[in-house]
Amino acid sequence: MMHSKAMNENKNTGHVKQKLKTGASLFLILFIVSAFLGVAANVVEWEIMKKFSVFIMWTSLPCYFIFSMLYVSSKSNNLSGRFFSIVTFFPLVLFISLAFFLIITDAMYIDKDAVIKVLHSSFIRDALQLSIVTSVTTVMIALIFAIPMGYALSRYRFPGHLFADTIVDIPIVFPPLVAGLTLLVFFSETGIGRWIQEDLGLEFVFQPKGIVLCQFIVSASFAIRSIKSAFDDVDKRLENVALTLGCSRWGSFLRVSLPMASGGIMAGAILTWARAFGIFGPLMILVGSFRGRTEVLSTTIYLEQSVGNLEVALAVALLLIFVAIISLGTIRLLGGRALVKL
Amino acid sequence: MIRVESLTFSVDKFRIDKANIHIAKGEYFVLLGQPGSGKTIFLECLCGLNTPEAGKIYINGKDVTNTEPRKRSIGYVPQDYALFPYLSVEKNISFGLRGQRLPSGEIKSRVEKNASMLGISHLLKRKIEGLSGGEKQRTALARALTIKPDVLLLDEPVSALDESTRDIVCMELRELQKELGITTMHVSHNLEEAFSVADRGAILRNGIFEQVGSPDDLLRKPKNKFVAKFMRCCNVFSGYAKGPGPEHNTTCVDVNGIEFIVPGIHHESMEFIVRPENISLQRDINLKTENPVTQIPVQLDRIINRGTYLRLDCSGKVPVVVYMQHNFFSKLGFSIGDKLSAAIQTQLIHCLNK
Repeated sequence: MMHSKAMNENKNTGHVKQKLKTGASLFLILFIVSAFLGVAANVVEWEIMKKFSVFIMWTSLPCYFIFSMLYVSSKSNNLSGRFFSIVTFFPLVLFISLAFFLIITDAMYIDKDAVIKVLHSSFIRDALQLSIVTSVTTVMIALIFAIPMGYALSRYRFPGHLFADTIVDIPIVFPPLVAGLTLLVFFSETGIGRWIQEDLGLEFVFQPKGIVLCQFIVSASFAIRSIKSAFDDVDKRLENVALTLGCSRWGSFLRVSLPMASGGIMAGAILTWARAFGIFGPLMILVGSFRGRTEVLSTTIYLEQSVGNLEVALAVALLLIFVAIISLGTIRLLGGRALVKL
Repeated sequence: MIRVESLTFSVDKFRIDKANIHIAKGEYFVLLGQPGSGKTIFLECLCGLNTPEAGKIYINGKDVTNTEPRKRSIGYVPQDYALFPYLSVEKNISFGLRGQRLPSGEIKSRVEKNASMLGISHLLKRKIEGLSGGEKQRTALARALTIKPDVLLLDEPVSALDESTRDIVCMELRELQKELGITTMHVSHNLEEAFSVADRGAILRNGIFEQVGSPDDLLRKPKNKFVAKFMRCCNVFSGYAKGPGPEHNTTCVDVNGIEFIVPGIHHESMEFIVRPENISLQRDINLKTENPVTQIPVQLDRIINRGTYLRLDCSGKVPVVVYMQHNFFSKLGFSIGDKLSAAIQTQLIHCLNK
């Protein structure tokens, strides 16, 4: 009798959990659809649709969070456990709400003219192209450095290891603007810098190459840190076994260490790309923002807002966010394991 | 087949000092020692994963001291197997062959042959995740054997398995080794495991080989107190030789006022052991026997059930530990607090080296 009662209770709890999960999913879909509709209505200046969508959007988002929070807390079977789930889940709610709120504010501020300008401007197209090309190049170069560096930091213990490990993190900590300033001083005031620019012919100041250099200096640390952690997680015994199974050190690295660390490498690449794609400060100092030559999306936003085109600046910002979301989403879908690492 | 001469290696504060060992072709050798005694480090030196500071390692007559691991012709199964989790069972087994760039047909046939030999043919397409301990162990063994090594080095190969599987796997390991005739070194800390497979064994303590010999020698003729204790012999006695014993080639030794008759001629202080299963307990304290026997008056203090046998802890001037079968114990009807006599036959006493 007692047993069947307990079974019934379990069954009911299962039903409730399922309903909460379905409810949360439905509200999330409703929010995304209404957000898109709202933005579209704003661009085409369809006022009633815009107001309706905004209403649906701002009612579905809290509902989504309430359902999600109840779903998460329903996994605990006591009050203390539920309270713990709610307390840990709530900051997530706040953070995501804030991010949505800011993006939607941007989207609602722009108008039809700004969107048309962004879509038709060859300068903005060039800036987008340069942003993508430079950031992808930066990721490639960063990986070429970060993979061996991450491995060395993870596997070798040498005098000054702690020092080297700390130096790697410095670009993460200091303001990106400082990187631009330092590079400018290096190339214009030091002998080596001038030699690289003038005698070697590798010009960075006010050149597209400088964009890649700035992005690399500011973002490579993310790749190194992430890849080092990934190699830390690779069991050394797997590499050792590979050595006894006919692999050289290179073979063991390529056939065991690399595949084992692939999740962390992917995570590092994503972080580096995200940082490289969005930097602005060091670029303004080292390469400036010359239309069609060194202008990237982040500097376009600055240029547009500085001449009073706030709508266009925000439209470009939305484009930047859109490209970032699409790219991150695609990479994450392709390399599912990277999700765990990030 | 494996010869190690004066091998010295140190890492942090640990040191293997001038280790010498010789393992014959086709021999199954077990390296025993407590955790932290240096077994794995020694094995890694043989594999070439640790470079020794001094000494020589010969495998198959060839000096391999400075040879890369891949050129030593060794099959290595590390502790917990270290299978590649991102590869299937089949790809794990064929890992070594794929590096040799052999034709795919040959790789396939060798993988299938080894898999069928170890009874894991049905697992070839499976991922490593989700395999049982025994299946993982067989996969690791197949992976090591597929490259046809001259020597098989196994680091705690069955320690991750449950008790019942362990016995079966040990039996299979031994049969497989005999069938292939491959020289094998097996590292373990478990005595039952070692005895079930070993031709010979060694006991390692803090990087030093305490004794090398057959399992029976290690058990019954330990060279020193450490080996005796490692082989679970609790009855280690220290005493002074008083004079010749009643029989030829025996000595009377005084231990805490009890006179032991030990084999051999001894002078001054000495140490000897008696295995717990070689001591018999009886009620009659002054039993007359034909063979020279040492009788110790004791009191039964504690009975510990060890499953297949009982451990009886007895106190007295000379405390002793006795192992006894359940049925025998029931017949004798002893209980805690009984005053008994522990009888030890002289030929079952083993004197330790000074």
